[in-house]
Amino acid sequence: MVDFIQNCLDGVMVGSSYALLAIGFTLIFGVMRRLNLSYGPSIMLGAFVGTLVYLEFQMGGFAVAVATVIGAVLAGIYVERLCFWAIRQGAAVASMVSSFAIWMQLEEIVTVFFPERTYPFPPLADRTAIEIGPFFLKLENLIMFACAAGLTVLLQVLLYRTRFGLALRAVSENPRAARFMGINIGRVTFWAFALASALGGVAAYLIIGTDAQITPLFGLWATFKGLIAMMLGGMGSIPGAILGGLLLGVVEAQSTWYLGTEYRDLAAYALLFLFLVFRPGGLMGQVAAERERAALRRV
Amino acid sequence: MLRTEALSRAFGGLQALAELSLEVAPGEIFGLIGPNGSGKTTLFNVVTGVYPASAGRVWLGGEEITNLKPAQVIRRGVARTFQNLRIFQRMTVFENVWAAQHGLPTLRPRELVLPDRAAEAERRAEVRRLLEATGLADRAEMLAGGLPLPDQRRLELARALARDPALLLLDEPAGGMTPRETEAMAALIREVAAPGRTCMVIEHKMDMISALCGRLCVLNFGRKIAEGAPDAVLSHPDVLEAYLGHEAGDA
Repeated sequence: MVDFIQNCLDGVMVGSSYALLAIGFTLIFGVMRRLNLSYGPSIMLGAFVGTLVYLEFQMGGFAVAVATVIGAVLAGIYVERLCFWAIRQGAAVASMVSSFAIWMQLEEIVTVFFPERTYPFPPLADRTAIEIGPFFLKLENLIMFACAAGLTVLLQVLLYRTRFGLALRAVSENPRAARFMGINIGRVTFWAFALASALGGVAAYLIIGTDAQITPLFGLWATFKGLIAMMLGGMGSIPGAILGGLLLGVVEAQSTWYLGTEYRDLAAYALLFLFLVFRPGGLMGQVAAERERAALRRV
Repeated sequence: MLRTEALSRAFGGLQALAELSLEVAPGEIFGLIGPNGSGKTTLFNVVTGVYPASAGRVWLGGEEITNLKPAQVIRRGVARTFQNLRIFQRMTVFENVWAAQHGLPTLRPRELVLPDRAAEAERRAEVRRLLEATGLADRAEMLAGGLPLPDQRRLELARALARDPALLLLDEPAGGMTPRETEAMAALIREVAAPGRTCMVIEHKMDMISALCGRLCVLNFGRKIAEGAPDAVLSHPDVLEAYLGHEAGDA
């Protein structure tokens, strides 16, 4: 039982960073109704900008974090201009395919400049753990969780307390109506991309900082984790993305402990498969659908 | 206020609007009627830039707005409601109207993230005033998707008014309403929406439209078949023919 709870604690903390990735995917999907496969690779590029700052200028954690976020935002904007702004209305498949092409391109660019398999990255914290009763909490995991939770709250404030958030929600719900409310859809999309990339940049810094090393494969990894967490939660729902990320983290932690590391990803894919078959709307998708049906009944 | 000159719009072989020339005077409530598919909503869509015109021109208060983008038309003081409602269902009633103030010239870009407290308090008060006027004040915090249909139509009207438009285009504002609700909507348009601005109303309900509008235009197959005061227009033989077909004599 102690093990099980310990795994849940670890899973929730690691899952908080998956949740950030899933929120990034959800923001873009919500506004565009298109999948951006390049999301992971663009924040991977940002993380390599951070690595560059670390290796070349010997700068510490904070500077690396800032460089990572700036790099991720610039790469995200590049993706938005090429895959989404240039390919306008109706061409959802074209956008997705071109985001795949940009994925390959970003990975190539990074491997040209960073040919080794792995590079060092400043660790998030030293390997201390805090003991609470029978449980251990790793400092780096606590930092990760605190940052993710803080950002999620900030995002919630931005979405529900500011006009920018209002415009973003309007565009994601009904772009044709939003246009007649004087909302500039192109501009909202642009900033949604920048915001999603910034969140992804922070997530990348936290995750890579925990490993203390980075590889170009991080892009693939981040796209997978973010996508799976988003699908588990229900596409287009931010609370769903958070729950999906946490669930993925917990399932991974449990399967690592009880089955072994080699089964970790297998368990994640099995979970995704079960959801797709038995609950295709995800955790929150069903809630949203139910609420919509209830609303329609009242009409 | 709004003038169209030989405005046409074709969808493939279908002539949705055929050389339509209209002039709506400032301050009037102008009715637009006609059988289903006669081009009424298409006119709204061409005027607001949703579809480009195939031929012809549109002027708004002396400025030509033919084929401008919706955003550009909206910025020139045009607002509209939709026949098939387009409210933001997952937002509250308040937020729907609040969102409609977006892009108003008084809203500075930095206020998107950092609100100016005084200005924002004034805008929120304006939203509440509009909800009060449209009878939605007690439902301000409800999700808009849960409102009954007549309230959703009122919400669309409140949202259009939030932009304080010079020209208001109402597409079937009483669609699906009972006679009582229709009357309330007519009163709302007359007393709250119309004063100080020009309105164009598409509606199928003849009682409502003839009580509300000073002048009417009747469309059939994209063409104007009659225009003038409601009484004269509604007894025009071509109009009876268009609406009632060959049973016109029995009506």
